[in-house]
Amino acid sequence: MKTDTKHDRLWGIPVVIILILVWEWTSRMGWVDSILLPAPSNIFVKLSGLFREAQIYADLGVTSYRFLAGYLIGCAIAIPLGLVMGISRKLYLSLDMLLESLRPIPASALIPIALLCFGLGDGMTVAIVAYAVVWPVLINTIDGVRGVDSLLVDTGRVFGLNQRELVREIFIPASLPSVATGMRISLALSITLVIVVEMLVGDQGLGHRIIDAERTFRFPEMYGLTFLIGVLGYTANRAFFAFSDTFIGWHRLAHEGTEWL
Amino acid sequence: MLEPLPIIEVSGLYKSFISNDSSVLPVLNSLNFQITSGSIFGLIGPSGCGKTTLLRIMCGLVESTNGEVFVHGEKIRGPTSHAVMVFQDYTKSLFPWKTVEGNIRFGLHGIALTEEEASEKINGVLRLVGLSDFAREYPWRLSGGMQQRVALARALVRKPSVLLMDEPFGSLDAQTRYNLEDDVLTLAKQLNITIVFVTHDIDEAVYMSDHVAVLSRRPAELIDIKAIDFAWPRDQVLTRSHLRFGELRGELMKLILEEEAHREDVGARQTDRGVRSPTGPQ
Repeated sequence: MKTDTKHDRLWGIPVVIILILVWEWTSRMGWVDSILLPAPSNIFVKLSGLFREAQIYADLGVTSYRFLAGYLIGCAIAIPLGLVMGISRKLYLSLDMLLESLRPIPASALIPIALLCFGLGDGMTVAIVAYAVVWPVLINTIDGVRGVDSLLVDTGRVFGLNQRELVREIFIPASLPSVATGMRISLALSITLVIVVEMLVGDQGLGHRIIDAERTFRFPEMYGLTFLIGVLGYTANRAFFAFSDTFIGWHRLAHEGTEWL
Repeated sequence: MLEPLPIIEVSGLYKSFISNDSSVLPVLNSLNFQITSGSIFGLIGPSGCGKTTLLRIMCGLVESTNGEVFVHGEKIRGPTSHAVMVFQDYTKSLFPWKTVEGNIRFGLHGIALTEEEASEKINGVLRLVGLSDFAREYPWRLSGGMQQRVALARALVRKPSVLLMDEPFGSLDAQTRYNLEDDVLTLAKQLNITIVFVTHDIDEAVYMSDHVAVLSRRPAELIDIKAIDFAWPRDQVLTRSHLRFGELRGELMKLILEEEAHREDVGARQTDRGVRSPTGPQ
């Protein structure tokens, strides 16, 4: 069976390099407007220049903080809530209508209200991100708990587990893969929203910096910052996988998928 | 010689479910029997007759509507530490996030043991079922027969006095089934465990049991209990080729087939009635 190794991943590198070279070439030859689409070398020089100033670290820090705080708060609300809603029919029925009527409101539509409630700054951004994060995590957690095989629960009962032990020993571990799916979807959402909020009403952060660069025609900087957000998202995603594998590595291994041809 | 004491006593057991159209669906009807300690008790009957429900009541997962089950003279009101159940669908009853060892350790839940005692018990039972080399594997990496051994080991590590098994070997290939049957028999006799098991396989019922109970179609009533008087240990080839084996098998099969035939009659009549006078009295 062929499996991924660190070595195999290197196959991705030539593809990226070729693409960058083509881009560089078209920009230098003047086939595209080098002001609207600057050459990668130009963007890279600009980006490394940015890193010699203190401002970029502050923006990176603010954006990372906002998205992480919002993400963690959202998860901290949604996971326990989803767990109890998945276990208790009463709680599910009493909360379902309220939640289903809130859910259709997109997080971005709440930006004015959040601005009103929290004022400009970290608080409102964190609140918007947390709101967006809640839904995928909540729904996947409820589904995960509802989907726990009843035979596992019966097995627990036969071996004398009480309600609390059933939750801890069976419902939680069995629903973790589904919880992780929700958390993964929310991770991308939280970065999206932090950037959107910063672009719209920001005073600092990467989103604000990008829109500022665009408005003042500093296009290489705009591209460089966009790339930086990509790096941030990629890092967050890798960190998430490393983290989730310690809990649900068994699940990933059990569902390795078919053999490569 | 004294007759061994009954370890399980089923007395006036009646169970009904409420079906979707809120009519009462009787499943078990006035069951009375006793099972002696250390014996192996096979349950056969037409499919869908309520054998699984009977086992689930015996291990305390399902409440009876009427009547009671006693294990060790204690009335069953919920899961009991005396009786452990091995489910039919072993792939779904093993915890995929636990290793083989972790799954077996789960069987020791609620038993106060030091870490040393626990590992000793786990290693012992791993040896019994021949899975010592697979302690750190996840169950889903093992074959069906091995997975069923893990489920068995998880039950045995508790040293239960009663082991309930719901078609334990139903989905295994013949070769694996024969091996596991013998393993279970050896262990049961060695550890003096009383076994109650459900099977569709009449040969298996005869081969493994001290007594075979035949249940009627739903609502299940006890038709007969046959004593299987072969000596222990039994042998897959010799026991099964014994003349008496064929006789017992024939008698049991006759009872089952009569029940199945009867059910088809009833089914046919009900259909006729339904077509001719859908609003008529039932």
